[in-house]
Amino acid sequence: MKSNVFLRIVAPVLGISILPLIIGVIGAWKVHIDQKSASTALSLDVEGVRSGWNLAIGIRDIRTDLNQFLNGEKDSKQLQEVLKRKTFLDDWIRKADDAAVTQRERNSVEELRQGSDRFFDELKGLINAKLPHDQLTAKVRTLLSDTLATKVLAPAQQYLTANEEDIQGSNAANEQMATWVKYGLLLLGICGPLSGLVAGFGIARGYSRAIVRLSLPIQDAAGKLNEIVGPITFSSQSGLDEIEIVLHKIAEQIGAVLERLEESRREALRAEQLAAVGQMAAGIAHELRNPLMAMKILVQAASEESPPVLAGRDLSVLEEEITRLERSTETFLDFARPPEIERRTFDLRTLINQTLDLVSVRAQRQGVQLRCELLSERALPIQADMGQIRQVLLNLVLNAVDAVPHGGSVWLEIEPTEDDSRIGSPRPGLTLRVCDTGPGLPTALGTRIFEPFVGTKPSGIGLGLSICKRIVESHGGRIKAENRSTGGAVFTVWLPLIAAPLETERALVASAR
Amino acid sequence: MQLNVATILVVEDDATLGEVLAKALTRPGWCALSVSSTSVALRLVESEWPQLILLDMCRRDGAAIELAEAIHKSSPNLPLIVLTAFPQQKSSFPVSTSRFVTKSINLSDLRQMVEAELSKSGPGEIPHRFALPYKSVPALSRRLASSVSR
Repeated sequence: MKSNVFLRIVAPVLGISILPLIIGVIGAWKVHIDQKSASTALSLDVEGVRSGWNLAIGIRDIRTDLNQFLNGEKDSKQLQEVLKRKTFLDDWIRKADDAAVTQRERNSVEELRQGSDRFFDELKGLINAKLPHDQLTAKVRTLLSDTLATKVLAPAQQYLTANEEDIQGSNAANEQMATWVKYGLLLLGICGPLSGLVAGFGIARGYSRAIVRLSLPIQDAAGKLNEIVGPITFSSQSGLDEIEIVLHKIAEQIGAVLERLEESRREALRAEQLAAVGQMAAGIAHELRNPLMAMKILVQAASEESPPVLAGRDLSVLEEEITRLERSTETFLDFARPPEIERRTFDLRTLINQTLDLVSVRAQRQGVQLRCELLSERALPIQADMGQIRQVLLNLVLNAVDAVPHGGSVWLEIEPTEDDSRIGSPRPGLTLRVCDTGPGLPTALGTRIFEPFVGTKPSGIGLGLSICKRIVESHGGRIKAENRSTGGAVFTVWLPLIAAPLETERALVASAR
Repeated sequence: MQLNVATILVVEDDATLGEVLAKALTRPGWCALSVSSTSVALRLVESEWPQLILLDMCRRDGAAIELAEAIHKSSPNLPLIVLTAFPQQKSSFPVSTSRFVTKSINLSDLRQMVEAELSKSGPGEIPHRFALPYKSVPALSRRLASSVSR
C-alpha cells in the first residue's frame, strides 16, 4: 500500500516538479554565463572604441600641429612639440592592444604601432637632419600625407570600425539571446502548469477510481450490517467525506454487533450452565424422593401405632425434617424441569393480598413490618400462570423478610407501566417492586445473583431467584436486582399485561438480545 | 376370614418403598401387594384381580406407561393411581382415567384417595381372558406376593 501511494502520487508529483526546476536552473545558469561573457566582451569593445577615439584624437592633434608648422612660421620647435605627443599615442596604443579581442583588431593595433613608430622615427630624423627650410617643408608634407595618413590614421580608423562592428554584433547576439530566453520562459510557463494539470488530473482520476473500488466493499459491509442492526444510507457516487462518515457508522455498528455477540455468548454460556445444573438437580431429586417417601410413610404410620414406638415429639421432628428435605427436593425439581405455563387472566391485587397474608405470620414473628403500596386504584388484570407468579412473589417477599433485621420493613410497589426497551411498539405491563431496609445486595455478586446456587441467605440452596428469573422471562417479562440509594435492596419485576403468543415471545426475546 | 377384602397392587421398582407402601396400605379391609417387576405385576393383575393399582411412574425404561396401557386394555375399569415425581407427566400419560399423586403426598391423604377410588369401583373386576368362577382369598394373595417379590 505504501509503495502504491509512492507510485501513484509522490512519483508523478516529484517528476512534474523537478523537471521544470532542472530546466529553470540550467536556463538561468546558461543565461548567467552568456550574460557574463557578453558583458565582458562588451566592456572590452567599449574600451576599444574609447581607445580608438582617443587614438584618432591624438593623430588629429599631430596633424593639426604639422599643418600649423607648414602654414605658419615653420619653426622646428613646433616639430619638437609633435614628438612629445608620442607618449600619449603610445599610451592609447597599449590600451587599444589590451582591449583588442579579435585577430583583426590585434592586426590593426600592430599596424598602428609600427606606423606610429615609423612616423616618429622619420620625424626625429627630420628634426635631427637640420635640413634647409624648403626641403624640411617638403619632407614634412610627405610625412603628413603619406606616413601619418596611411600608416597611422588608417589602422586607427580600422581599429575603431572593428570595435564598433563588434559592439553591433554583440548587441545583435544579446537581442537574439533575449528572444531565446523569452521563448524559453514562455515554453516553461506553459508546459509547467500544463503538465501539472495533466498529472493532477491523472492522480485525481486514479483516486476517484480507487474510491469507487473502495466503496464497493464498504457498501457490501454496510449491506451486511443492515440485516443485523439497521440501515446505513450509502450511494455509490459518494465522495471521501461520505465514505468517512459511513466508515465511522460501520465502526460503531461493528462495535454494537460485537457487544451483542458477547452478550449472546454469555447468555448461551448461562443457558448451558443452567442445563447442566438442572440435570444435576433432577438427578439429586430423583435419588432423594423414594427414600424420603418411604421414611415419611413409615413415620406417619408409626405415629398411628399404640403404644407408640417412638416418643410423639421425636416422630414429629422426624416428620418435619423429612418434609423440609422434600421441599428442597421440590425446589430442585422445579428448577430442573420448569412446569408449562398455564395462562389465565386474574387480578394481580388478589394474588398480592394472598401472598402477603401467607408471609405476614413469618414477618410478624421476625418483627418485620410488611405493607403494599398500590400506585393505582384500578384492578390489575394480568394474563399469566397464577401459581408461578405466586411463587415469584413468595420467593421475593420471603427473601426480603429474611434479609431485614428486627424492626425493619418490607414493602411492595405496583404500577402499570409500558415496556419501551424492546424493539417494536411498547407493550403495556406492570412493574412490581419488592423493597426492603436490609443490608442490600453484595455488590460483588452483580447479576450473578440470579444464577443457580448463588445466594445471600445462610440457609437455602440458592435456587429461588434463579427460578424467579426463569418464570418471569418465560412470561415475557424481566427481573432485576439493585441496591436502593437509601440502603436496602429492591427487586424490580416487569410483566406484560397480555401474554404474547409463545413464538412471538421467543422472537422478541431473541431480537432484544 | 374376611371375604370382602380389597386387593391393592403396588407396582414400585424401588422394593423398599414398595414394601413400605404395601405395609401402610394394608389395614382392615385392604390387602396390599408390592411388586417390582412389570411382568409379574401383569400376571398378578390377571390372577389376583386387584381392585386398585398404585403405579410408580419413576420406573426406569418407561415400562410404567406400557404396563398402564396393558392393564387398561385387559381391565378398563380398574382404578389406577399413579405416583409421580413430576405432575407434568400427566398430560402425556395414555390412561386418562388414572389419578395422579406426587411423591410428597401424606399417608393420610393417600389412604383417603385409595378409599375414594375403592368405593367408586366396587368389587374387583374379573379380567376378560380369565373368567374364573371364584375370588381369590387374601391369604393366597399374600403368599403369592411374598413368593414373587423375593
